[in-house]
Amino acid sequence: MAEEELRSHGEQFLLAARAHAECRAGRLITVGDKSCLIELDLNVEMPLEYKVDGASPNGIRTTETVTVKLWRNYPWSSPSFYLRSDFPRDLPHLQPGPLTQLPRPCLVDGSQREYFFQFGLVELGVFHLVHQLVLWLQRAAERTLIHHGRGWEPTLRRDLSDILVIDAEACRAAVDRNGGYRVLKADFLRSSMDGSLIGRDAWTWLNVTQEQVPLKRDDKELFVRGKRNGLWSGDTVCCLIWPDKLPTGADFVAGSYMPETVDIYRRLLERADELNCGRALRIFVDNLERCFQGFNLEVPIPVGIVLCARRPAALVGSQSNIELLPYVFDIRAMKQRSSLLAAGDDEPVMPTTQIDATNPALLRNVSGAPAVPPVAMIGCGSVGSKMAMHLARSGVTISVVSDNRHLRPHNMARHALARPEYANSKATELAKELELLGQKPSVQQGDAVTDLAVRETRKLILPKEAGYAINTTASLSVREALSALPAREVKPRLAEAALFGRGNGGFLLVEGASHNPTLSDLVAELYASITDDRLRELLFDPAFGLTEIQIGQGCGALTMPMTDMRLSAMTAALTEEFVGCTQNTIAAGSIIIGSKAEATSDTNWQRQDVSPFEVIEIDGPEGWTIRLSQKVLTKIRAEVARYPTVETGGLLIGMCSARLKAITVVDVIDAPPDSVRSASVFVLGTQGLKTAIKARHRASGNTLFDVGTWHSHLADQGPSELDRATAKKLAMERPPPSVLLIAAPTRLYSLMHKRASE
Amino acid sequence: MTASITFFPVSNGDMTLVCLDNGQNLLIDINIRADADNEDHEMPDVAEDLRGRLRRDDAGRLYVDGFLSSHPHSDHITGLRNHFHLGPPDEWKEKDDKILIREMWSSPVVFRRADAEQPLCDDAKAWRQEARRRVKLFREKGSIPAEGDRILILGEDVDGKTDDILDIVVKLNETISACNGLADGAFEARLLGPLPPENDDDEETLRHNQSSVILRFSLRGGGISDRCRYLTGGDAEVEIWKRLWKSHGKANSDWLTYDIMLPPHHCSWRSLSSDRWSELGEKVKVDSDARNALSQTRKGAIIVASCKPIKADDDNPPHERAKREYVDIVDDDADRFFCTDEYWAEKEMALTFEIKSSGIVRKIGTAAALAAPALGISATASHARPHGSLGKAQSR
Repeated sequence: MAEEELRSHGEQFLLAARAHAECRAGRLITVGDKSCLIELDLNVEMPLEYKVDGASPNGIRTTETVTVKLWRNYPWSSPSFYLRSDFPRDLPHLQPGPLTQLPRPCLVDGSQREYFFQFGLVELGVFHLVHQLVLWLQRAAERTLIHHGRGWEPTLRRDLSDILVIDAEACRAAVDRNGGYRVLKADFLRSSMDGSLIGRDAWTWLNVTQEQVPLKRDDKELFVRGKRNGLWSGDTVCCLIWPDKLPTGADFVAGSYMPETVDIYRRLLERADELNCGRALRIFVDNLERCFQGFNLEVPIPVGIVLCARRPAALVGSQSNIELLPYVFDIRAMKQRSSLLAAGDDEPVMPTTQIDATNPALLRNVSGAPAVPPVAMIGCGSVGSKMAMHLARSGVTISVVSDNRHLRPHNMARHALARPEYANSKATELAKELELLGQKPSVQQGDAVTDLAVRETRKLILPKEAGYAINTTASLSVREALSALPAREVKPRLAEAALFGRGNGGFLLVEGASHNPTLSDLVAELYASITDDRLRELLFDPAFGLTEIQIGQGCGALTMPMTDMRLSAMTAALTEEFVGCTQNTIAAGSIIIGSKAEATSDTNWQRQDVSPFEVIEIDGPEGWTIRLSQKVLTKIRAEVARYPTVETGGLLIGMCSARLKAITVVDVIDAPPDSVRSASVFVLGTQGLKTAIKARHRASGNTLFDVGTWHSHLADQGPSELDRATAKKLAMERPPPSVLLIAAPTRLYSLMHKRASE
Repeated sequence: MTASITFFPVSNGDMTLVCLDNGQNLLIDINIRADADNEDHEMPDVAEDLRGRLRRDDAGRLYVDGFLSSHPHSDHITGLRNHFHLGPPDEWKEKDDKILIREMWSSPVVFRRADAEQPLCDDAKAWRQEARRRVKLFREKGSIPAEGDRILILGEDVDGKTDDILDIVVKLNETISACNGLADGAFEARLLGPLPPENDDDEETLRHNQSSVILRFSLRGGGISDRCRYLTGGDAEVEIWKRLWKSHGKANSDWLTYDIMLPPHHCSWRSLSSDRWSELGEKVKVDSDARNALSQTRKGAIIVASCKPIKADDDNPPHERAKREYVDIVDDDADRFFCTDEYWAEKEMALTFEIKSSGIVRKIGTAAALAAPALGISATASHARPHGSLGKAQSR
């Protein structure tokens, strides 16, 4: 039955394969109940001058006969392809394997079965595999299986069962010009039975750290073996070896391609010699023998070797020209031994697959994420922890995590971390998690508002090596503490990410260069520019709108009710936006705000770039400044231009902070119709003005209000007596400060009555 | 860029695209028949194929860096007006989306008056008009005009008619090493024809022998100079090749060597012999000088006949006896002789050779392009399929 079925599959395979224009002939060879063998005669295109000879100089024929094996479970498995036994073996992209087996070409980058399956139609899969085979043979003849244009292609090591985990970049960094070796601490796992050795149906997993260890005779911890979860595990070492320089002093470069053929220690030595690593390998093995002198440990312990081959070009997908060639062999310290290698030079050695220890560079490559400067996280709550993890998983270095709160059971609803106990601060726990991703962030557990005010602690929260610092505390006090810092004290560019409206809205603020506009400026600008109804609804949600977030934070446990799904969706998008901002840096600040539609998951994102604010010192109380958005300045200049011969003016709308000692102006209201303009005086009328201010206040979610007035002077002349009198009068009338702004032809003046701030 | 030469299947006609490894391309003749523009027609859509191989400039215009017209016959110029922009480049229109010719390569025949015996087809007239426009512009300016207005004249015209424009004339036996003003070693081409008339009566002989531009290219591939030599000679016939061998056979036979040759005049017997097949049949003799001129092969050289499928009949061109001679030239190896239409019939693609550092390699198609026709996808639609309960269905 199986045979009959296989025969029919074989015939069908032949039909599809022979449809390929370069397939000259094909036939069924044998059909059994386990497999079916087919032969295909394939035309190999090669340069005209080779073709006429019937073969390329490296021995590929113009017609190659290939054996195809269909397995019993075909078409649920991919066919296997074998080349003739005398096919040249010194080619790249041949699967590693002993000489007793027919050579197998490596046809696709990745799983051949997935490739075969991806076409749906089986015949199409067969056709494409045949095509890959034709291309492979053609490239073999042209000697272009390795495409050095894209870089040096590493030796094929796929499908090896032993694995060595090591941070490749750290290894490469260790390579110097002189040659040498390093003994690194490692631990291992070994599958199956007691005396199981490498290569005998057992696999080895070797975890190599970057910690160097001396091979001391009295170090009892160096080699240990025990049983864990049914597997052998223990401690061992791995030796990293890099090439000696040439007698001339020049770098040794291994420029010829060598397929992986190492199977015993003798061949490993040969290979090491070919790479100019032989001297160090011998020293290491001698030291190993000395280390065990007088000791017995009658169980096999795997030892790792990593040879560094210096290649003539950078490896594909890497900046480095150092290729790592890892191996593993067993040492056995038997009582009556002549060597730790029980079989001497014939001791089996297995080439292994090298995989990277988790590190930011690896994660960035895997993510295909752009390079982002290091980020300092202020706040390790649900938003902060998730942003930090998103960034770290994209390979962004998190240089510091700051938070003074503790992880609590209720945090488990949305925090990035799940923990069995709650003894530590959020910052400590987040740092631990980040360490698993190869990061070493410093931990700050003080109160950010207090610590930002002091130079020494400020430098810890905002380290100079960080390119950005993100405030995710949703705390107005932290935002103000950050905004209040003088520009020279802020090395990283500051950003803020927060959610509002039960996670249906979120925003990202990124300060301008030179700390202008500040986060506080950007928030004021945001309030002034909201026109979208949905956004307004979310922002000014009476319970969980933007303005209310700080209250939630103040009350500790009482935070916005929302699911982890919602929070994660929004936070992920904000992080993505943040990464985008780091790629196209502009001098202006940015406001990026998103709002989810009411009934669907559609989220609408808007971006607004905000030019630096004009900052003017206020004549009057000490240290106060007025900060004007460019929009306001443009409006004022336009109004002045409309009245070139008389003084004019209007009302300033914005926010005011006694902590920042700043009046931030983000809008103006035109002078009412009953205002009086003349060459020497401007009288701001009252008609309808109150109503207009109230409307503006409401429209901004009760955040923006009248912070003062502005008027023009026809000459570059500062405040008059009349102006000072008005300032005083304004100050007397209400507790919040009121400012006077004077727009003279070439400059601006500002004044405020002193008592207003007292 | 990988250098390549593509031979489009245009039946008895020529259409070849030479791509240089510096990214430039040179089109040699076209034969885009109206039927090839018709989707329902089985004829290969060579215009679409060509367009897919070209790039667009900053203004969004498809362009060829150079366009060589070997001689003004309809099977070498058909489709010019439909597919190529003629006139000043700034008059190019997006809605027409025609191909801009940055530099024309034309034989000096454009200066001749209309010939009563061999009237020009409309596309050839359009070529002549455009060439004259460009020459006029050069005469007025006195300097090489901008892209889209440039022209090279391949060969001096009789009676000194081109003496005042020698800056844009390539003299016989000299080489061209720049296309559209770019000389970076990507190629060199030696001008071997059209041959000038030796005396007053000779004009007639030359015309009878389909005098054409003959170029022997030497192309750089994969960074290696002279990786491929390509000989192309329009429709030139036996007398021309005889003369070429007489002139160069002794001292400069190397000028005629090739890796790839387009046999002249669609594999016509008349390029190899003056004997008439219709009168002598198998007794015909090949002209030894012409054969010498056409057989200077390099190792592994191939011959690509641009013509309809070659049958053993009295039809000419292509001629089966001529094919036999060419196969003989390539060491009697039939695998080294190609016919563009036969190749299309078998592979449903134009014949392309890539010129790489490893050598000259025939390009096999991409799997995606090959798979659908090879596996008969869409074949269900190629015939009416009877269905239904009539017929001879068995039932009890």
